[in-house]
Amino acid sequence: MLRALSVSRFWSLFTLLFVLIAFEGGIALWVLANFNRSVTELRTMQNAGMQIDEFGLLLNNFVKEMKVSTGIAKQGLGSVPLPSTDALALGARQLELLELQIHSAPLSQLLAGVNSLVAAVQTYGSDLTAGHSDDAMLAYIQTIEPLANRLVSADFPDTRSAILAGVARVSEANRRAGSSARQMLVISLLATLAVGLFLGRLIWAALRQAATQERELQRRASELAIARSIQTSVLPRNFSVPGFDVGAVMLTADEVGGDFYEFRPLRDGGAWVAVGDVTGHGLRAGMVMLMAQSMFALLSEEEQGEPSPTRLLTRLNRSLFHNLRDRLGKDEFMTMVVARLFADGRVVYAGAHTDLLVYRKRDDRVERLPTPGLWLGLVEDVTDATEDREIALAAGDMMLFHTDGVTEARDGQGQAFDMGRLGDRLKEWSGVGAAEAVERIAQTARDWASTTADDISLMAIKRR
Amino acid sequence: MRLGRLACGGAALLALTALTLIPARAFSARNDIALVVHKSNPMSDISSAELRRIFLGDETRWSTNDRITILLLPPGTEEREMFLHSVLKMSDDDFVRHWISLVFQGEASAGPKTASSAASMTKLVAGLPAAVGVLGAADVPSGDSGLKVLRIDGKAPGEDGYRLRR
Repeated sequence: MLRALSVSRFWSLFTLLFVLIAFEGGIALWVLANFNRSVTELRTMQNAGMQIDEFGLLLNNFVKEMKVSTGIAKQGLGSVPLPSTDALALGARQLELLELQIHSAPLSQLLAGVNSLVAAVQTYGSDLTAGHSDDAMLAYIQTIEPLANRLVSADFPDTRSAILAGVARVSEANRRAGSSARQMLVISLLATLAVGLFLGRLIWAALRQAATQERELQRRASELAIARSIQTSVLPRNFSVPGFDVGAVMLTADEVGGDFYEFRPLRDGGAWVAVGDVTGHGLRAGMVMLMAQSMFALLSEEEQGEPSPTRLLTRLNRSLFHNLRDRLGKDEFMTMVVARLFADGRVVYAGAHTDLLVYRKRDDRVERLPTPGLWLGLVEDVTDATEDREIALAAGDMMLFHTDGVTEARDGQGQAFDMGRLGDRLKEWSGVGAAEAVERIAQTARDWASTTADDISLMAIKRR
Repeated sequence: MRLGRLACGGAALLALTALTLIPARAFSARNDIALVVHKSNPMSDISSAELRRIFLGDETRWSTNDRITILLLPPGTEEREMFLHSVLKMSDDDFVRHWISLVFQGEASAGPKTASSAASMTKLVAGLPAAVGVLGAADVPSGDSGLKVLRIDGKAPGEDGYRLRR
């Protein structure tokens, strides 16, 4: 059944399917990549939020500790050591790594302020150590405490707000991206479903067409078998006639070609011979051939007096013409040559068919005898266009009837077997019996042909 | 009788004139406690109520919007304890706890600072335009030291009725 599908359609469907799968895969990868990226970004921002909160706690504790330690000092402020900035500096370094990822301007400002604070506190410590308590105190009041206040009350809240806004922004972007991805996925699935249904319909239609074609092929095969059965079942099997060696062969084509031959021995030692070819192929050609065969059988029985192929052909044509034109409404016609063999070696023939070939043993050459006349079924009366012609066969001479399937058999280069090659083969096999000669010639022609487009029929009559 | 009255009136006038012309240092301010600010501070007189609000952290900015920096001498000094008791009615421990509470609750951005000595106090106030310091009036340097002594309820150290007096 699949053979019935045209290769191009099959590949088109396959390509479409491949493109669809690739498209779906692309969407899936895109969604997955975006999901991973957004999840990573969201985690980074959430981590930033947690880190900044931890740092805020650290900063707030430092500032309060610093204020309390300076506020409850028994000694003067300039002699009070400030809390250690180690934890603050470490937290700032961790945030600097974070800043490289999120690139937040408020965070940069916060870190710059923290670093300034750490430096100022260290300077305060140095002044303390050097005994410059007033300088240390001034630095504390003028620089350290205002800076610490600014960090706690402005820079840190700004940074935290910016990071939380970033978390919210990324969350919202992810939500929108997820929504877009879901919409795209739904649209993609709907598109796939639609294309799948379309493909299904296409495939179903193709399969139905293939099934129809297959049924047609089966029907035609059956028809061909019937036609071939008709064609071959009516062929004569008895070629016995005194003084002559007669043989015939028909190699049928893939489709019935409409070839026809007949041989009817007579009690007077002679015989009627007919070889023809119906135009067209198939069952209709087989039916016409069957009609012609039946008519020939009847008419050859009824032929009285001096035998005349022309008279027989004229009557056969009239009946055939009326059957085809008036009753069947067909326009088929056929070529046919009819010959009457006489016991003394004479052959009278008439009709319109392929040329006859006669091998003359005495001269070791082949004669070519045209068969002028009208094809049967074309007109009602072919009397005027048909004439009897007579030849005599000497011992060893061989007369060959053939159909156009022999001479029009073409090889792979388109070259025909033609009359010349047929004559050469006749001469080549003239020394064997008629049956063997036609078998060999027919097989040679069939081997020559690149296809079996037409029937190959041959009949040889050899004078003993 | 009339002469006697004139003599009394003249003596009083002379005494008043003498009092007006004598500089602040010349008053008997040895036992007074002075409230000093930077000489650029536009304030020259302060009420007891304002003083209390400033030192309790209820008022944190001058009229110039500068944040007030409170400076006191170290705990245990007479000037500090007398000031806290007289103005705030607080012991030093209560004062410290009050400010720690404010700082921890975030209601104050900066607490009072402790100057190690009167000299240090004068130096710091002279260097901090928004500072207000408490020290003995006798320790206030004369001349242009960059300081200004505030009147309290209209009274300067050494004057009758000045409330920060030991």
